[in-house]
Amino acid sequence: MINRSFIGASRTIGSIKLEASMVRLFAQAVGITDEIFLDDAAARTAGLPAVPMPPTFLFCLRSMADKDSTRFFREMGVRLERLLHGEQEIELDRPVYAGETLSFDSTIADIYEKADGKLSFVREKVVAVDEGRLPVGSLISTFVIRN
Amino acid sequence: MSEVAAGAESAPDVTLNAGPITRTQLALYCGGSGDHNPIHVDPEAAKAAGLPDVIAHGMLSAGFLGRMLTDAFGASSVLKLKIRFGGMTNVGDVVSCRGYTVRTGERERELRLEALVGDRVILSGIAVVANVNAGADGH
Repeated sequence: MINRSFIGASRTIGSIKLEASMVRLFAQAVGITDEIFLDDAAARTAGLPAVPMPPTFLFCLRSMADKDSTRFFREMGVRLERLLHGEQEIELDRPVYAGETLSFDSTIADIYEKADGKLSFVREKVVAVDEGRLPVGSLISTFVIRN
Repeated sequence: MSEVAAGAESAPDVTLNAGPITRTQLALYCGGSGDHNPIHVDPEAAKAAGLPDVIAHGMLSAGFLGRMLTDAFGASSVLKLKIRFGGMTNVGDVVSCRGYTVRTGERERELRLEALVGDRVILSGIAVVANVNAGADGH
């Protein structure tokens, strides 16, 4: 059982600059061979300002910006070995390119239970904004806790 | 929430096979993603967590789905991606990614996604991709 008073709790995660080298490492790990993701010159030749961010890398970038990713769960009294990542939603309002710095803010959007309280669900919404504080995307994570 | 079932019997519009997954790839993904949970690279840590061996990151397979979409529709085409994690992926597994178009609009299309190992669904989800970017970067 998780205290539903945590719904609405928010915190600043932090900021991080997307580097072309970060995209290249990620691309190699997931087997991306499209040169646009691997080489700035190829991206420019294709008419892009720089190497673009692969869509699921927004989740990685948020993790890299976060110095204390388990803070909410510790405060909620959740044992981390009981925590599962159930769903992940990624929305992009616009493409993001290497050289941009994004800032992330997190809010607990919902907490609920299923299976007579055997499972608790925590939905966290993270909003990413650019240097002008304009939104570029969001991440909604649903975590499952086996009580 | 249940996903749209339409298209399940027809051939997928986009596919990608990734793998077999190696330990080297899991180590690369640890570095590339910033997810340093040892259950993905250290067999001893995996055993301590009650697993027989290391397991792949769920977000690695989500990355395969992302790669399938950017390969097919363009590097900056993806507007939305929603993934449900359904099962574990192990070293040696080949991940088969499939996308079925369920709605085509003037500016974007929606796809139902799945990633399978054999006939086991490890990820399911939906994506919305822009039509306008397809071709803008050479696809």
